[in-house]
Amino acid sequence: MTGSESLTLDLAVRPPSKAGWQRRERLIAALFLAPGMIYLFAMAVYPTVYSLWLAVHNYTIYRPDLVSYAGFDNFNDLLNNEVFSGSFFVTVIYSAAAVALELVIGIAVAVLLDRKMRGIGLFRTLLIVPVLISPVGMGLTFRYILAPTYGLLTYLCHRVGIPTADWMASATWALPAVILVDVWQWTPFVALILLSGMQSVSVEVVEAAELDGLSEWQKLRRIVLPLIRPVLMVVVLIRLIDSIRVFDMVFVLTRGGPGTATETLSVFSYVTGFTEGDMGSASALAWVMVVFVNILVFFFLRALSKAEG
Amino acid sequence: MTLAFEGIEKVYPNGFHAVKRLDLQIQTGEFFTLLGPSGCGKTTTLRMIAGLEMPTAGRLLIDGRDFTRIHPRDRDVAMVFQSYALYPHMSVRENLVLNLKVRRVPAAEIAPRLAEISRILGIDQLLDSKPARLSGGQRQRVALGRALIRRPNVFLMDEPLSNLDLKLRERTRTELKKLHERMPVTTVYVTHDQAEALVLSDRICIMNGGELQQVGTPQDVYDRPANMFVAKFVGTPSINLLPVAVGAGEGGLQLRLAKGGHPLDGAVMPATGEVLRRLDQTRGRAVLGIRPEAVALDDEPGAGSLPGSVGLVEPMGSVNHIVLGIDGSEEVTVDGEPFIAVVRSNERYAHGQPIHVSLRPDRLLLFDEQSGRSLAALSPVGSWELA
Amino acid sequence: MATGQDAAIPLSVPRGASAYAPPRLWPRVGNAAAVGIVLFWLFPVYWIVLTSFKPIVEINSAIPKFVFTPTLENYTHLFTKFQFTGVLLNSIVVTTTTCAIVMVLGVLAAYALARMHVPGEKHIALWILSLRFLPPIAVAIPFYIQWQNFHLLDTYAGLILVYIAFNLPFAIWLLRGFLADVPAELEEAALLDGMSRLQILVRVVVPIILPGLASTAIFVFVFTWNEYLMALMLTSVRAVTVPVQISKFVMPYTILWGDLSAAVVIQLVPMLAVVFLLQRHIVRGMTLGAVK
Repeated sequence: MTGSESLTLDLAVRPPSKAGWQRRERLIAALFLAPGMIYLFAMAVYPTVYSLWLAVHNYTIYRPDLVSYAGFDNFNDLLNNEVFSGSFFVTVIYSAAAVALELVIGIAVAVLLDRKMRGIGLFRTLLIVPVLISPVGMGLTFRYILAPTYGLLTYLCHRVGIPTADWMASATWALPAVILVDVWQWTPFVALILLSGMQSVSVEVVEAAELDGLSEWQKLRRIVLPLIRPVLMVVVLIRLIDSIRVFDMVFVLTRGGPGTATETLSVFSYVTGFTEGDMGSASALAWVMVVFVNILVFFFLRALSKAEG
Repeated sequence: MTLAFEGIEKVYPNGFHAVKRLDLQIQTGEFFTLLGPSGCGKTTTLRMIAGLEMPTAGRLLIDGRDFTRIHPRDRDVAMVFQSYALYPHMSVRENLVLNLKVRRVPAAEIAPRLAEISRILGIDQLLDSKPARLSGGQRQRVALGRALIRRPNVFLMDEPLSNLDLKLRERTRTELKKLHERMPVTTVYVTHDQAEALVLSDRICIMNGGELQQVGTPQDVYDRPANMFVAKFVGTPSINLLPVAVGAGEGGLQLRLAKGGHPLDGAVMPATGEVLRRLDQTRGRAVLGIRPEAVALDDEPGAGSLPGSVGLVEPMGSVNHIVLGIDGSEEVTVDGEPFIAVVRSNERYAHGQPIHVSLRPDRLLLFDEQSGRSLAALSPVGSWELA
Repeated sequence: MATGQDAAIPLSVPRGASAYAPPRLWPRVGNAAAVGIVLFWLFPVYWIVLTSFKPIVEINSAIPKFVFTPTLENYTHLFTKFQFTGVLLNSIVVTTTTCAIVMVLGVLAAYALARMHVPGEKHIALWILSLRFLPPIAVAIPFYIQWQNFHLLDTYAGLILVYIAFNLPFAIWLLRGFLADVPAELEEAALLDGMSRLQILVRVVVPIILPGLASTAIFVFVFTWNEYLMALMLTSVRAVTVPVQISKFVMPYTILWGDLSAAVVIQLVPMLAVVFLLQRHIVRGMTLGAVK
């Protein structure tokens, strides 16, 4: 109908006025949304912006009255700082290794737990426990187990004749030890999510694959994992982002030591700001992380939109 | 209480033009059905009456009063949703009386109304159950009850039977009809099921692609469809559409099957001037519509019968559907659908059997090949007139 | 994934390991492995619980003992020597207050975003979610400086204000997902029944998403209860929370393992209780809604 087409154009140009109650609905929506949004602007956006301001100033915690504009000095100093590049490297190794191990072991554990068995629900629930312990608690528990002389692992190694070390104090072993604790805490998280993803795969698809004669391994590799790819992406990105920001676990295990062997960016920033009192440099460092993390967040949000469908 | 649509348009924000320039009048106490395939705009139309969608243009009137922009709450319309939308956390009783409570109806008045409605619908035993404990049919009754208890001006139903299984659907259909006779509230009913529409409605409005196709009584839309879409959509098995050539014959119009040129002698009937003028514009080409039950089969040739053959026989119980071929070909119709006759099941036909096909002249319909609009239908007095 | 549908169905499918006809040996081995891996993974937790009941003299013994006479002396020491009651109270006050405020602000904002046709709602929601990933250290320094000016260091309010900001994005996002699952027809029915927006929210929507509300609250609870970095920076004496106190048992020349392990166990107990009640909803929260 040509008549209605021209009318459509009219409508596009001049939308009809809203009814009074519709305007009121909008007002209500704004009233519902406003408290949360205002809060987030005041307490999340503003501090981030303030952090950027700090990043371009010389600001020492001990003499806040001596604040002065620094331009990009703080950032330049970082680039020339060996500790920064080292810290960056530590963070990358930590994240890559921890997330890779968590993914591989997580898939294996998820497959193992994906079975019909009496009481399997209880075991799945029990697996949540390591996720719930605070990273501080988990870190210190491992510090006890790995302790020299009275640690359980040290003792067991002695018994079977494996050489031991003061792992947390060893430049070689400290980082792997910290990664181990991260893996211990977060693998169950990965496994449980993948398990849920696997169970959302339609039974018929898997049965069709079975009738086609695929082996268990082929089923996993060719059917199930490709189907839960969106979930895999989401999990990997959550873990990557969180491991880049890691602070608690490393701080209670090694405080970044020995030397700077386990000093991740968050720990480095904390030490710079609170131990050395250089809030400007600490903020510059934090902003490097903000940028870094937000690149990953961008990919995460895309993956999440896909997973949500 | 009359309900009027004046030039109603609905364009969704994504640009989808759901309803195009709709003008409609719905009378007091009428059971009015919006019928059409999915995406035809029928549900949008219903939701505009409820106020759940705002028309992009046009006016909605109740008894002449403009209520286009009135809040849904203040329209005095009640609705039965396709999913029933019962509040899952409330008992049946609470579901039924919530709207009365919200509207501050005195408790002394609520109790008798609740008793009446639950008795009529036969749900008095269920009042303390939660919806999750009810069967599909029971939920449907509760949803009806929740709408009826308000004694609304207009009663809206959005495919209320589509979640029931076939047997229950037919039984509930009958009950709905009884209920409407008992409480004749103006009802607007949306469905894609033509049988439901035919059984229930006082009048049916058929829509397609956002446009109104025809408004009329069930008999009207079945016997005198305004166009090929309506003819096709209403009735099962659906109408046969055969290409024909129309010429001026002795004493009236001479119809010939476009393929094979077989004359349909029984259809030589006088035509009004308007019909002739329209046929002129189509240069004698038209589509002939004939309902399957108006196709007769004979062993002997008769006047205007077509040389046919029996294809597949589909037994339906009381009747059989016979797929027909003409001149040994089953590609007869304009839309590629099989050419079907409905015969009583005690008449035996075998696949491949030659047969003579004749079309009941009083049931013939002519449509424009291009626009699909109805050109003419045979009137009871035996002349071609505008439908 | 369907494994082991029903072993009784007599269908011979190629490859013995298929769902219909699992071989006799492997399921048992698999079951054992499944139980084994979970128990193995829980061992450190078991070990710290065990330690918390060990006599102090056994804790630093060079030969760790699995069998001993359990004692509560670590717990009594923790409460008498370190005034742990106060610390526990701090954590409880901060966590519950944060939870309550986050849930109220969160439900309102999430409802507007999920249901009230706010322009650009999807983008607003994604932006809010992105705040969940803000590195805490980036905002910790500004908070420290500002709280110093406002005299909010080492107070409940100082911590609670920060924790609300940390949890609100996550809560809004999660609640928005739960709200989106409520059938729109229910709210339309309520609208026609004559309810206002607030009535619909309170009388229809909230009762329906109660499980979702509870699991969101639990995530906020767990996160706040376990949070360390901000608590470490913003408290010193009066408002110290459990994780900070636990880390304080690591002293320059010694670590008080007895008190530490008892505190870790106490910290774990309330979470176990609530989480076991709500295990079904956990995964959805952990994936921010990517898995339902």
